[in-house]
Amino acid sequence: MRVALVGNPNVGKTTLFNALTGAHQEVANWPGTTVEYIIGKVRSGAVGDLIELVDLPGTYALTAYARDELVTRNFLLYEPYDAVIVVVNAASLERNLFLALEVLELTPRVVVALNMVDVAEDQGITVDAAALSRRLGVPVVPTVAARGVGLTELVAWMERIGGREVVPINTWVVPYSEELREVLDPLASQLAAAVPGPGIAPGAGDSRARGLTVSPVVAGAQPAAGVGRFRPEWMALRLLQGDEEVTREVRVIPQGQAAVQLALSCCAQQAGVQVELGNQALALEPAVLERLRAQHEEFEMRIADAKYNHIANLLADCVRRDPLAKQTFSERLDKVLLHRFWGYPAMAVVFFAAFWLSFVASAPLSDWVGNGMGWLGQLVAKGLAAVGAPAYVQSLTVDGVFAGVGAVLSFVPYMAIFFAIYQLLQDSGYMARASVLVDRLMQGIGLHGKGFFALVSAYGCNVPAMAATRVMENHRDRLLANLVIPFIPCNARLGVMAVMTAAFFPGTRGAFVMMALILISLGVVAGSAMLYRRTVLPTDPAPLLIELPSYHVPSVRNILIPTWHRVWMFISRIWMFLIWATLLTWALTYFPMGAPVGQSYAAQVGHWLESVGRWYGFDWRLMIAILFGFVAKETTLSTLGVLYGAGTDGSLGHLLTQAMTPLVAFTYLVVYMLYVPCLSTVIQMRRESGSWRWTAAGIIVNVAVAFGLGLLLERVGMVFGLQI
Amino acid sequence: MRTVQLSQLSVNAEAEVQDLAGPPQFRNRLFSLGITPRSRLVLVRRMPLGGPLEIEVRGTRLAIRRHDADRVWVCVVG
Repeated sequence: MRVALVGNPNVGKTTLFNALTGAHQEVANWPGTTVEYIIGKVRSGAVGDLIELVDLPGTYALTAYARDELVTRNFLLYEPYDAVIVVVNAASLERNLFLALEVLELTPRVVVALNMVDVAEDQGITVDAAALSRRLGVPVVPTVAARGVGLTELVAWMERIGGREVVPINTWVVPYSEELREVLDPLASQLAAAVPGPGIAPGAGDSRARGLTVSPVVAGAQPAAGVGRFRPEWMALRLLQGDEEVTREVRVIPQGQAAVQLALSCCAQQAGVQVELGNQALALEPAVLERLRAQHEEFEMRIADAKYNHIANLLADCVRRDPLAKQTFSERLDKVLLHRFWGYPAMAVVFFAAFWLSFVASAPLSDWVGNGMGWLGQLVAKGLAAVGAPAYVQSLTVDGVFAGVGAVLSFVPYMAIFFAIYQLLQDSGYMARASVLVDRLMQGIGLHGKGFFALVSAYGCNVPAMAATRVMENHRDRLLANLVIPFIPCNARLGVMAVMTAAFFPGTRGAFVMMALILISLGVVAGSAMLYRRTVLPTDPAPLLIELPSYHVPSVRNILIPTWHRVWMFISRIWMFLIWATLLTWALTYFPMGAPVGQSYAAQVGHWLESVGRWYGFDWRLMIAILFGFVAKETTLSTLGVLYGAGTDGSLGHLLTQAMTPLVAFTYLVVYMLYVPCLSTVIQMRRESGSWRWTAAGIIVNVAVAFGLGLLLERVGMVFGLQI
Repeated sequence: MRTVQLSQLSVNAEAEVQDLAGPPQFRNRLFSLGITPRSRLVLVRRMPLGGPLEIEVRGTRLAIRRHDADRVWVCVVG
């Protein structure tokens, strides 16, 4: 049995999902998109059968406009399922029931989970679930997902509805006005005749008041394929609203064409357009088409209006609202956190704590992991030496295999801490507020407030920063953020930059140089974002609306489960790449066997790359460091150390100052800071953008900007005879 | 009864939505979030630095950018 879980964002849908499924979850990627949905298993005692629960992305409606709502819509339209749980927030039913009605129009096999009834009661809102159930014609189960209240009843209804023991009546859900019904009814009956129904007899008249009809299980009453699965009433509504996708679907069924034409002629009539509607309605003049579209929109508005009217009636009968004397906790907190002055320092404190914990406090943990792997490698090497294994096997083990595994595992501590904090900020409701506070600033570079946290966290590590762009609902916004994040220097790069800066520009000058570098990166981020916006990624016409949910304390389980998923996703995708890359760099520096580093294959590649490096004054060693830095930027200093023959005594800085001028060093730092961060970032970018083409484009722009700007700086510096 | 843009509303004022201008995607998104003609909303606060407006509509709090709020025409109530 397969059950879909839908709901508005911020209604506790995922909390409910976690409470129902526990640890039995797997993440699936929607084919062709970056949107993920999670499948969990619910154990049900009664049936002895596993219920497969699908957690669909939060959505406000089932229209086909926003690309990000499409995953949920497409699942409900085209995928097989036995029942739908619509999760609604009891504290804001008026808005939440809109989606519930949209789903009910699509399928009657619905269970409504009336979640957060405790929060609602705190706000003086009491919902009569039984009355609401009678009015909606489907079960309504009050739940408090965070405390596991109402789950047993929910599962029981899921089984009854999904197992078709109870078949809710198939009829109009919303009492549309006479005016609309005059248009809708003939359309629906035409569609009902044209489409073989899903095996449920349409209810006659107004049967909502009668509630559920219990009927024996119909053997083999599987949902029909294609449009046959849709309710004729629903199709009628969508045709009238000018839903292009549904219109296309209906056109292909026998007699569907007639229904489409009927809808169009209704529209034309209402719009006062006199047209002969042949089979090719699309060949109409643009002006007429425009009027028809406007009429479709008018219908859409009237249908939405009717839904909200219906909801208002439902609420009048089923919800009691006691006036609140005191302000809610959220309102009091917002007085400070969204204060026009104190809001910003408060945000700075929260974000600073978040990043300090993720990237500074976790550093010793990462070191332990790295050192632990190194120690383990040495141990194994000793063992290998004892049994007389050849030198290259020992080197392969220590510098290849164990170094590679260490590189993967050293990511884990800060990824885990970062994602846990990210989830905490999200779930508590603070992230939405912070986004709103900085929205105006981000708008300047064509991004929006929700991308702020991701961009700032990129200074820690680009990889989780890219994952953090998921908070933006719009695909284009996410893509844009992912394309510019690599220009932000991460911890590893900042470390290398600090060492080189200290060597070349001692004292106060070093601080200015670092500052200049950071400003250059900021400029590149802003400039490239604006350029992407103007050229390939124009702003979506949909407005940016950020919901500000009430604050609440998230449960530990709701923090840990997604954190685990994200870390595991990263590890499982990255480890093969990183280990092969580490092995390759090892092989390049180790072979030909016995040769000094200066004659290794790596050196040969470096000499070949020097033809490019010469433009900048970079020697082959610097080029190799750039190339190998792609595997992991953390290794750059050790690579340079090996290539320049520096010991562990910190002589690298001295050797570097002898090898190049400060101007060359500065150019190198700029190039190093801006070019593709590392292999992990590329893989993460592929995952977030969902396309290799965008990833490749991003990398090419990255490298081009880094080397282009480097060359420019170098040449300008030369002209002015700059010695910095 | 005067009709103004949502962005012109004063803080804590209650208003009834009159009309929504803008492309279909824009209007549709507002519909699904409960901002429909004849719905009631309250302007809760204006974010600093010309940032978004916080409104309460149908029992939920939303932030809407000023230039988006320019396209929502409302009528002050009471």
